[in-house]
Amino acid sequence: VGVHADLVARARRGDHDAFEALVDSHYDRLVGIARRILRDAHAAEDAVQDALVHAWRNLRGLRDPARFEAWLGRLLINACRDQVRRARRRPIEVRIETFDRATGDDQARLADRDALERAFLGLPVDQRAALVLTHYLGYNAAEVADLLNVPQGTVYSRLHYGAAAMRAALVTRPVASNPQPEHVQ
Amino acid sequence: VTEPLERDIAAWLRNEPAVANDMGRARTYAAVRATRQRPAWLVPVVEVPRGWPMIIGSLPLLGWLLVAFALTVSLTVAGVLLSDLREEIAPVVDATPTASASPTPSPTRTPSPAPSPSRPPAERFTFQSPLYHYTIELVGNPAAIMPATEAWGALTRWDGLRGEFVDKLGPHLSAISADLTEEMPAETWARAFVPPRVVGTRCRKGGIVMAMDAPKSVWKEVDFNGRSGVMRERCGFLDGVVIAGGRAYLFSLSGPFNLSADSAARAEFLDLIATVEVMD
Repeated sequence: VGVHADLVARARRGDHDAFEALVDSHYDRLVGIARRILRDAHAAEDAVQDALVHAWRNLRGLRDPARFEAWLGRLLINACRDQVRRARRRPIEVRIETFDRATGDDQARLADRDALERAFLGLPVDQRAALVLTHYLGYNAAEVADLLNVPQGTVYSRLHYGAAAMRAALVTRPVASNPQPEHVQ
Repeated sequence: VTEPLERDIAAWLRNEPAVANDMGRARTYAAVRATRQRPAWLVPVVEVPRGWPMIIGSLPLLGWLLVAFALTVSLTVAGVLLSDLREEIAPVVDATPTASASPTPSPTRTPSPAPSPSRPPAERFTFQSPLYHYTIELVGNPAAIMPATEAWGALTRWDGLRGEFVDKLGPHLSAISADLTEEMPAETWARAFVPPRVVGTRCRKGGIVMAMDAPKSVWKEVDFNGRSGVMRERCGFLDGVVIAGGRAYLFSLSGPFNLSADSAARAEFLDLIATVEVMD
């Protein structure tokens, strides 16, 4: 904690090396969170960059160095929200799954994944963030509430509606994606 | 029913790369290094979340807003009180009120009715603009003038910055001129290039007038040392425009109170512009 506080203090005085040392250990995790919220690698990197630039610019106003990580997380969620707004004006990245011969299980798995992807992208960023923080990072509701600066009840609500939307998507996914027996003439 | 779904969601979320791209990291650090930090006083609360409900919850920011509001109210009240006081106890500028402009400069000037004993007697002198091709006779301290150092782009609306200023703390005169691209009447030029004055707290009489209620400018003919020009009176501003020798000249007297309702200020302005000599 002492080293952490010292790095924050040095970064607040304009020391770039200290700032990079401070965020370097968080960088992968930040990109991971953003990537899961945005489902787009480039947008995720842009969001992390925006969050870190914002953090650097405003670091001198940070009163409690111990809150640096929580603050950074909150900035990242805001940056993701901005990215979603901008994403309406640019093409969506599509990840191509390559495999030679799909088995029935592969097809079903892909259909599930596709349904989850579509349902997730239809959620508001706040619900996506709650799901990612809870199910990917393993945060409890209190930790998510602290990071997002909302009451715990709001976190439960976001998780409930987010999961419900994804469940509905799985239930209603197209039957055509189920494997069909192959007939040889 | 929920648990398997949560497991599915967790598994699906884990099925993404967990390591970031090194190029992205380098690009981000380069962007940070190219960014200047804001001074601490500009960032009173760094943990300001977005959204109005969250701003409400941020007491430090709310505190700043309250301080700003209190300061605004205090300054407005102080300005109105000062304006009242000045109108009651002293004329706007220390000059003899003359109801109409004279075509030639007045050779003598009556001193102000009650000069402050600590203030040296005002002296008359001629100021020659280094950039704008005119001279004007002024009263006071020549050192109080801030001559223009940057010429004004004639085709843009006057921004009020690139002129000469006299006595910037009290009522002050600013002047500027520009080459005309084509011949036009003074009023046409004035309407095109002199900004509409925002009517605000300077219009003291009748209360604070909002900008939305600002009437259109009325330019009236006025004499500029034998040349015909136009003049406009708008709350804290008196603007005069004359065209001569292919140039347009703008003289503007402004002050922290309602000049247009002050006959002494109006007379002083007319007296001033009557001393203008343009250098064709």
